[in-house]
Amino acid sequence: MNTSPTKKLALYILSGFAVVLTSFFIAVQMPGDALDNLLLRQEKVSVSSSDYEIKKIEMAHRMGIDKPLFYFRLSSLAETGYEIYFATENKKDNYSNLLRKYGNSKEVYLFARKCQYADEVLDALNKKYNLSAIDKFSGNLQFIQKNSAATNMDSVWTMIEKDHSLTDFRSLTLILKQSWEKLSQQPHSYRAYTPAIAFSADNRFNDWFFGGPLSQGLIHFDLGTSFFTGEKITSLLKNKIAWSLGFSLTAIFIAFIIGIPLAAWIVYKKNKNLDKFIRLFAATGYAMPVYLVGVILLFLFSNPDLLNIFPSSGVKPIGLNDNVSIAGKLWASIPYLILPLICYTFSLLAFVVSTTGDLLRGQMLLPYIVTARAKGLDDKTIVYHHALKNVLPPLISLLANIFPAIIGGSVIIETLFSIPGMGNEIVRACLSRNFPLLSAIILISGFATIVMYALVDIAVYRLDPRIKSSAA
Amino acid sequence: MKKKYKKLSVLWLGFITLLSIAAPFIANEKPFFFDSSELKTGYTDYRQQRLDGKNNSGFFALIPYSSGVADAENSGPHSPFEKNYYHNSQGKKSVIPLRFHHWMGTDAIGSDVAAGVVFGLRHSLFIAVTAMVIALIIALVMGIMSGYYSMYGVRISWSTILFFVFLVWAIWFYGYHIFSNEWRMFFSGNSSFYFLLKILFIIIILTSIILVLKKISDRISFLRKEINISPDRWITATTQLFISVPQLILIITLSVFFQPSAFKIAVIFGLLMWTDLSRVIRAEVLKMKQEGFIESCIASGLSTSQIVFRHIIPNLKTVVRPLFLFGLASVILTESGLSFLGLGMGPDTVTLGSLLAQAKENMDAWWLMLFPGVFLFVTILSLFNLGNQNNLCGN
Repeated sequence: MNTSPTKKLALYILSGFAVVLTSFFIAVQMPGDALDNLLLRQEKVSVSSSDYEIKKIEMAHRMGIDKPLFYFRLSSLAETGYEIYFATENKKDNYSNLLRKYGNSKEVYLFARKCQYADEVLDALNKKYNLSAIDKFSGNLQFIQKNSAATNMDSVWTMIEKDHSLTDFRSLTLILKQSWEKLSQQPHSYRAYTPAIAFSADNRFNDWFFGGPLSQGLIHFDLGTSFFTGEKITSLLKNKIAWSLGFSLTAIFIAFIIGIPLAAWIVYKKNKNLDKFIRLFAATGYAMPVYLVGVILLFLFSNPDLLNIFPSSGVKPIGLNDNVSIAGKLWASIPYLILPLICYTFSLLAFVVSTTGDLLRGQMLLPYIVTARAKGLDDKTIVYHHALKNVLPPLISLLANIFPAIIGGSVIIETLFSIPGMGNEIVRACLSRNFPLLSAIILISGFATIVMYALVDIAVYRLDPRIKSSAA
Repeated sequence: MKKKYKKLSVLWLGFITLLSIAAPFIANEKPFFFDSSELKTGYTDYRQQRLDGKNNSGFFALIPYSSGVADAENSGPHSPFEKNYYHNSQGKKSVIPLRFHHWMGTDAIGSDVAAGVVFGLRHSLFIAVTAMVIALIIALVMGIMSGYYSMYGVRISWSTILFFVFLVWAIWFYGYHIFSNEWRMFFSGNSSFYFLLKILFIIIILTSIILVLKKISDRISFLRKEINISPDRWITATTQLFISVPQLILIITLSVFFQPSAFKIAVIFGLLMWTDLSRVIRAEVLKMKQEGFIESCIASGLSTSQIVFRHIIPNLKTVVRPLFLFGLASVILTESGLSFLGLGMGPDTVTLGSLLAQAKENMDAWWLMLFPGVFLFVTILSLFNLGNQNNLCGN
């Protein structure tokens, strides 16, 4: 593709922005019990306490998760974001039904809050006394909350007022009724049916990106805290990135260092059997997924029944002394690194060898090789000095295509060998619904991929004079 | 020589396809037919009765076990070479006859590996084919659009753009947003259709209003100004966005949000796999445009749809076929990897990946690794072989 560097840069910025947005929309997700967990851990408030819902709302307000998601949102005129204050799905439904009928959001909100208040009062009473009247009134309250948008409420109020068993709840009913009257006097139901765009500078994206109550913000490289352990995610991931990146870069390095000379040698030799073997190797490398290779390797070399040469999991011996030098640490972990590295490298090597071979064979048919032959150069010089140089740019752009696959493969390999890297962490984060951690990993791997693409583009631009001249 | 391999690959793929289509008839713990009046007292199950030698009239499937159903007597990975036992009506432990032997062994809970492999292949193939069909449709639309309109783009006036923006907004708002409760109830199965009529009514009125507004705005000179939109650039950018996050990580994340079933996983894969296909289709359409037959089609007065359906799509067959086969292979591999990690379909669905994950847990159970591994390997190899040879012809 011969697009200009500025257009390429714009594309990279665009995809960076897309990665940030994806990561953000995952970061704001919350498992249903996240707030309960936090309340229990930080404030020692249990579900059974009477002011639990209020505490929950206060907590949500303090954390800033009741703010709108983005700088603007499409909604109706009536919606003003109050629905976040209702804890359960049921209450949200009741609120939005009322809103659709009457449209005056503030009054509807107050009424719904008063219903909730009545609920809490009844709950507190219920714990003290066990009266049938409380049950009856709470039944009535349920009916009011559920059907206030659909039925004629006047008859309901009079029915409750006339009921002699409910005299104790007169004042409560009065509060509800007054609130209801205020609500129903001036209905603006058109507001619920009018689309509108609501703008707000104070929103969750702003908090997440520039810093807010939950984190210092992405621009300060703070990605928030883990829901469950309360740890900072950046400090959690710091060591893990090193492991993942170290493994994948080493694997790429090994595959290219071995693969390219091997392919050149095979093309130079022109041996049919060798060709056939390499084709078989490539097909095997393609058809053997990393998890199959890993399981087979574990079965062969880490099996008490067969060969117990390499340890099956971890990256260093348990109880390794901390004050050993780095070289000593590396030496101690070498047996742990061999199987994962074979796993990483196997299919990559097959791919690199076969692709380089194909590319070289394609080059050998071109006229400049014929010229070189006519000059009297020997095959060795032609393959190693002329053809290989021309194969380099497409090989490097291949790197960009395999890098995402390597990151994907690292998820499986790290889980298989219990390597404390990012891939292992993402599986754990998924299984425990730890969304901040998940979003951080997506952000990091996305940016790693984009940076890789950019580096490859720059390298190809530098290496291939044709692209340089066509772009300029 | 090469032809022989190709034939073998086709044979294997055909065999697997048959196997997965007929899976419930090949691996099933229930007999195809038996007279329930023949179920003798003291037996809960026809197979038990059959094993005891009391009745021989039922007709069982080739593999008389279902996948994922525990066989408590032979639980704990159980080698194919070991004897399988069952408790007969007297409560005595005795050896199962060969007809009911677990030919590929059992896994930790005692479910039959052969049945697991058959159903695993069925899930894999279903997901792969569905995903690639979805991906192919998206890729055809995207690739042909960006290739066909690459040079000159599409001229659209501002009023048309405004019209579409408002229409989309209106459909989203009145069709979904304010009726979101009703839609939720509708999908959980306890609501009336009344609100659908409401929506239809509102949308019809709105569309007519917006159409009138468009007629008016067409008169306004600055809205009538046309701009040149190049689908090519937009689609290339979209492709770039899709490949900027590693695929497996994106799929893992999406599988967290959607409780994964086979169809949902297939749709997720389909929505992510189209990028390669669309890039190749775009390049091929660009090449075709240079060959000149499309120009002569335009000159002879064919409509765009005629050109696309009669001339472009049939010519794409040769480039799409290998990529489609590679795509099938890659979906099968990735999906197995997903269930290997325990993030795919639920824990009680047996797939090739979940069998391999069990092999990791029980290192001495070679049969848990060998049979799923071989089936997976040969399937991918034959897909690769078919795809690759088509490619080699071109070189």
